[in-house]
Amino acid sequence: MPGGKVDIKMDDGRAHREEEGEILHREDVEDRSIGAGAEMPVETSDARAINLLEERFYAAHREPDVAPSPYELPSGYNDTRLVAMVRDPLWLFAYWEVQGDLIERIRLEEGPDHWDGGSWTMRVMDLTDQDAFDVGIDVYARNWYLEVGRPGHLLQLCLGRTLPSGRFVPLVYSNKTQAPPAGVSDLIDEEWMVLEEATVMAAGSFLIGATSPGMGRIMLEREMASGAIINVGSPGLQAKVAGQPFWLTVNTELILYGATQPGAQVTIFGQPIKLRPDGTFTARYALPDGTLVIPVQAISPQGTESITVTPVVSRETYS
Amino acid sequence: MAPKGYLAIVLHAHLPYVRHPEYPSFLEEDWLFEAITETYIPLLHIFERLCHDGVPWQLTMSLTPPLLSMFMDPLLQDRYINHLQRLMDLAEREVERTRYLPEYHGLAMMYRDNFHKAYDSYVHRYGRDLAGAFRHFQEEGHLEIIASAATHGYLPLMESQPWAVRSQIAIGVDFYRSVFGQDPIGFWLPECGFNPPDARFLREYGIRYTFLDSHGILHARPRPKYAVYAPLMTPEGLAVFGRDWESSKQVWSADEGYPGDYDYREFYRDIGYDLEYEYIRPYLKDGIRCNTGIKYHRITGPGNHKEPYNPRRALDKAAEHAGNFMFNREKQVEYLASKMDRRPIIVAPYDAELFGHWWFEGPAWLDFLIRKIAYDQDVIKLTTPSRYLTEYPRNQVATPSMSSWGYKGYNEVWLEGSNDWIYAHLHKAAERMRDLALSFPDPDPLIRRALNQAARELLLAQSSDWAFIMKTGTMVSYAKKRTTDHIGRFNQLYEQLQTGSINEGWLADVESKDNIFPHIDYRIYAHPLGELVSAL
Repeated sequence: MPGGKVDIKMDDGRAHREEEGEILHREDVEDRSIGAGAEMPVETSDARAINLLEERFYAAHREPDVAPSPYELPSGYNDTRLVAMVRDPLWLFAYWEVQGDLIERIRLEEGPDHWDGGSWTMRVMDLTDQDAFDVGIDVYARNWYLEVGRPGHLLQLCLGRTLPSGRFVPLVYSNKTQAPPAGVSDLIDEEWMVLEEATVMAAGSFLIGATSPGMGRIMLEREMASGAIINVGSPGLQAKVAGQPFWLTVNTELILYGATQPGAQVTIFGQPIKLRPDGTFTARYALPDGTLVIPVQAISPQGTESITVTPVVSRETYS
Repeated sequence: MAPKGYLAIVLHAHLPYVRHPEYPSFLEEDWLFEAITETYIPLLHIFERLCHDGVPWQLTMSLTPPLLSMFMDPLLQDRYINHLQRLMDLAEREVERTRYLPEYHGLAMMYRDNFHKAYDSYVHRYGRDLAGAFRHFQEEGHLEIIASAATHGYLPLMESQPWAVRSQIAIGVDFYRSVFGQDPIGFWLPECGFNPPDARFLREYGIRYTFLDSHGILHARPRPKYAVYAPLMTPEGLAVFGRDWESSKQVWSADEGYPGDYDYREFYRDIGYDLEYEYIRPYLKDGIRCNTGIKYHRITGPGNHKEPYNPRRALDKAAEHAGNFMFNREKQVEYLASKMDRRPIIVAPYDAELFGHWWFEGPAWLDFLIRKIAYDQDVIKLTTPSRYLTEYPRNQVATPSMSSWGYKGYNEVWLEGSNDWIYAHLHKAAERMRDLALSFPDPDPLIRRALNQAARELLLAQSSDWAFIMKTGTMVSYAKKRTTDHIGRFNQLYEQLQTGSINEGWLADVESKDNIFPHIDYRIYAHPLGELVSAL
């Protein structure tokens, strides 16, 4: 459950919006049309109506006798993973799987008595506010709805165990996810863009294949180390200040390098990489926001041995 | 006279891919057949008459890849014709049966006439090619057909797997090109499900605009100057149009909306349920009562008592409602235009299947509306998003909020107790699909077939329809079976590919069943998150 701090923030948010509503009444024109919009409840009756109508499409049909599927889905995939999904501005859904032997290994490391006296915990980390709170869960439930109450914030979960000493032992981290805002933005600076600018930007600096490559061509284009591809940085972030010709573009790239026995075959993301005569290699990648899992595999010159090393790199951007 | 503002009507046409060659007939295939007879062909007829009469008109329409694939599938085409012939036969018997029932006889003749016209159009005039029939109006400059995701996957719940989102978009756009012979300009996000990072993939595939629900725009950062009455540009350069709440409600709302008017046809009183069993049995599938499409009553009122349907009165009411809708848009535009430095655009998106299938008079209402807008006023004009963007290429930059048009406005319809179990499987399959694509850059033909089929199974499992149906609580067993079948087939393919032992006979069988996207290239999933810039 969120702490008191969150409640205060939400009260702030509401107060702020009401206050803004008053301003909107005083202010002129354009903003009033927003004001009208801002007063619309998000949980509109029409949203409900849509579902009613859509439901009718199916509901109007009788429930048939469906032959059971010949397939059975596994209860798990023998993984250790935790996935965080946004349900709405206030709630996350999490599902997870933790391999039993991993738990047992950490249990032995921590000392079984100490471990057994602890309790399973989901740590909700608010990366926007740089704080966190804990929710007690049942690890064997394998999924949980979490009332987080941090609209607009970047969030990450960590499943672990809180020991009697109060120490938290992390088992597995989730992806990061951004909760949507719960209301109208308080940022009112305006910036305007002409559609053609957008097109040039997309073609020139941040996207591969702005001329809409077919699926087959994508592989080809990626492999061509041409000038066009060198332009492919990660999606750039532009921050502009209203009304001023001042701007900032930030891109990141990742350089990956290593060495193996000369004559070995190395693949990165399954693609062969050329080794230098001394067995060293270097490759450069765009690094967009997100988590990048980079499997690097080396196969010995005789083709008899294989080693895979998988760095995981994660980028996030604030603006 | 120049208009003061614009109205963009958007029809979203979609049905999940349902095709079961393993059965001689299959009940859920009727979803498509009913929608063809009651929605798609009536819409095409209206478009034809508008062109014939020289009425100026502009509409935007999405036709999703599963729907187009079903339109183009020879087996389903044959089955549709068979379905329609049975209906014509039933209507013939109904004309006979009602000879001395004057309040129903005219209706029976109306249905007979409708079915004959549908048959004539489908078989003789369109040559079974509904995609081509719609494409014609795009080529004539009236209809702007937009692309959609490959299988109506709900993109915000694929957030942790950008390659899965990107593949849904890439395959949807590629399929659009193959059907319409041009690049799509607009894109319909399934369920209006928008997650801000996905804009980059839409731009990557050349998409210029999409639609969001109202709060997706209203909650954008910075705050939108013109609310939903002008598009925003995302930082990536994607134009996003917001759904107008007022015009949506008038049509959509189950309580206050037009479709609930007492003079309109009652959907639930179908002769499939009303008539004597032995009489109707030859027209039922497996002898179990179901809708036939022949319905003789009007809504009448809230109770169970239903009066006979009067088509004349219903048409008058549709004309009146069209006039009311137009009047409200005029007032809305006059108000907005006085507050804005540009002409406002009112965006009104609807599920196409609402028109005709559920709201029998919906196509007539649309026809009246288009004609009235053309001739009875000069405040508003119909437009399409791309025309609007041509007139107003400069737009405010803001990042919209994650949003959808589902109940409560976010992801809950597709993520709740009834359906949340599917995501562990869907995500695992998408992860495995990427692993497969990365490990088999250049396989032999049999392996390639298995990889392509794995991609099809993943895509079919990702259709938002299954989670939606599980939530609504009817047809649940079918939705569960479809999810289990596709994930099950995917998992088998994965195992066979891992062990290098492809069961070719089984693969051929699965290919014949789940035959969507015959030209798919699984390597779209090989896209690593970071693009290789260069080897140094």
